[in-house]
This record gives sequence, C-alpha cells and structure tokens, in this order.
Amino acid sequence: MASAQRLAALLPATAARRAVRLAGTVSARRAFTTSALVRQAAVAGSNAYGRSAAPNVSSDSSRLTSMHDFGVFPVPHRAVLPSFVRGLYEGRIEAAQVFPYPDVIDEETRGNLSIMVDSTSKFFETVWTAERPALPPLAWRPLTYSTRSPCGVPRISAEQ
Amino acid sequence: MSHESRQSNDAAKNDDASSVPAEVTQGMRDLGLFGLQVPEELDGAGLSNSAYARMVEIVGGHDLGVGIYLGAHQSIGFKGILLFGTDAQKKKYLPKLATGEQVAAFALTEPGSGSDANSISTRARLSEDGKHYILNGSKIWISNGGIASVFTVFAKTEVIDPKTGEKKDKVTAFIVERAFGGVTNGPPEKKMGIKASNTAVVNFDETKVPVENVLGEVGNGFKVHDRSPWRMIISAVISPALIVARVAPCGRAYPGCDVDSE
Repeated sequence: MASAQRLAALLPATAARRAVRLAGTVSARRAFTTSALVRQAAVAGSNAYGRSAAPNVSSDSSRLTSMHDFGVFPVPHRAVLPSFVRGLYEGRIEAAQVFPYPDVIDEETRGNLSIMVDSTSKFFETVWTAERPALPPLAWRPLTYSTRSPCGVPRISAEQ
Repeated sequence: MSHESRQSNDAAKNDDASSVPAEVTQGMRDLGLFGLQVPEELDGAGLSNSAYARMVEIVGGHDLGVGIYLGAHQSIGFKGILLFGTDAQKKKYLPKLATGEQVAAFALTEPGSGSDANSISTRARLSEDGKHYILNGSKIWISNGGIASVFTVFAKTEVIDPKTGEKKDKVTAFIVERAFGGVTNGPPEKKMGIKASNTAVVNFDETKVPVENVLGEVGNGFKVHDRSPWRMIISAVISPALIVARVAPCGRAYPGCDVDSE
C-alpha cells in the first residue's frame, strides 16, 4: 500500500485519487503490480483531463508553467497535442511529445557536417590510426590477451 | 601512404614525446578541426554547439589524446576570446587560432588552487604608465601548456571600488601571448593516458600584457571562468564516456576494436 501511495503522489490529483481507490479495492497482489497500477492511473488521468480543462494550463501556451509542460504528464496539452499514452494503446507514437528538442541544424548545415564527419573519420582511420597501447585486460573479460605490449608493460594472460 | 604513416606513428614514441606528429597536426588543420566554432568570416567552420559535439565525438572516439589537444585549444583555450573578446581581439587572434597556426591553452589551475578561481595567487599589477599589466605566477596541469602560443590566463588584480574607494582583489582574465616574454613551461607531465596531449606547468615571470588584452572587464574574470569551463566540463564528460564505452571494453579506441586474441 505504501508504494501505491508514493506512486499516487506523483500523479495528477484526479488520477491520484483513482489510483489510491484502485489500490484499496482491487486485490492486494494487483495493487502492488506497478505496471497495472500505472496503466490504470494513466488511463484514469487522461480521462479526467480530457473531460475538464486542467487548472494549471495557462492561456498563454508559449509559457512553461508546470511539470506538465516538460512532458512529464503528456495529458494537459490534449487540446493542442494528442495524448501520448492513448496513442500507445492505439498503436501510434506521438513522437513530437517524446523528442521535444528543437532541430537546430538545418539541411544545408547537416550536409556540410556530414561531409566534415566523413572526411574526419577517414583521416583518423587511414592517416592517424589510434594504435595506442592497449589497457590491461579487465577483470570480467576472459584472459586471452597477448603478452606482447607496445608500451613494454607485460600484459596479463591466462597462460601466466 | 597507410604503411608510411603507420611507420611514422610509433605509439610508444609518441607517448614518450607527449606530442602529436606535425603531419597529423597539418592534416587536422586542413580539415578545419582547429576552429570548429569560430565564425566563418574569421576562418573557422562556424559550427553550432550540436554540430561541434558531433565532431568532438568523432575525434575523441578515434583518439582521446588528440581530442584533448583540440579540446583544450578551442573548447577552453580560446573560448573566452570567442565569447567575451572585443571585435579587435577577435580579429587579431581568432583567424590564426582557427587555422591552427597558433595553439591556445586555458591557464587557471595553480598548486594551491583547483578550479576555485577565487583562491588563485597569480597576480597582475598595472604598470606605472598604465599601459600594461605585469603578470607573475605559475599555473600547473595546463593542457597544451608546452605548445600553446596564446593563453587565457586568470590572475588577481587590484580593483578600486568607485563608490567606497576600497581596494579589493578581483579575478581578471587576460589574453597572454608567449611572445610577450617571461612565459616559460615545464616538461610534459607523465600521465597515465591521453599522452599525446601536452600537459605542463606554465610560469609567468614579469610578463607584460597590454591593457587591451584584458578579456571582458577588469575584475570580471569570473564571467569568463564561469562560462568557459562549462565547455570543459562538457568535453570532460564526453571523453570519459568514450573511454568507458569504446576503449575499456576492447582495450583500445573503437575503430579497430581488435583485441589481440592469440
């Protein structure tokens, strides 16, 4: 029950009430099945916000006002964006809500960057190969390393 | 060519020399890797932070030592000039730095002071004619310290409060050229890794720095310090991540990833 309450504290108020009620009514085993609880609470939250406007949504949608705006709970923007969780159930991924980062690189820059990346990679693969002395083998790796070492430090091998 | 460069790129020799071979440096100059974020009109590549991160990933993924060499040069070395330099300072320094003709370094750490810029003991006093600052002090663990010809140096200067007339020590950032005189450096430090990058002690002994080489404002070095090391932290985060992801599991940087299994 304690974990269910903690989870409920993280959810929007209406959803939280539903989650606590769920946890109280359904069998104890199911109440502690977090995935089931999250699923139910998420659906509950989406319904609740879908019916009535969320109280903390500012009229100026360009301003970030709460955790909701950072995509923690995707629901309050339902009027603007479709529900992410609902999309999951309907076989859609609302990519705009999970990748909120602005695309700062335009097509031309992307092309130029790709040329730079390719030529630099080629340079380091052909001209300046990183033939650095290898580290000693790590404890969790099978000890099948050569005893030869470019830096003169004998390597540990299984045979030694 | 490949065979030839392999012969000239003796890893053990490079580690002893703690340097990147001249032909590799030239190759990176030709690729424009020395001035990735310098505006194009100042001979740089004019990349955004995102594009820069992409390039750093490529370089660091192939060779961390070279990654530190380039990162200390542009991520912190001349970052202060790029962010806070006057137009004259930018025009004077950035084109040469962006093309790799000169290498930059960032001199903050001192024997008694880590990244806490307020506890540094390097001092700069104004000369009698008011045209120069005389810089005295010593900096340790300066990446590119042995090869750089332009330094971003932090020093304490005496600032008089215009209202109260009180004298206070405040940190100021300076652009110091090796050519100003009195700049010496110690031998390359023996490090555990990234040995191709140079790390050295840098001493300033009565170095005369023209007043126009103050970066930002006098007593406002914190502004330069606070914003530049964020870039250092970013590159510092990128590099260990690459070490863990690409070097540690296979023993060497990722492109080969060919563990000698005999």
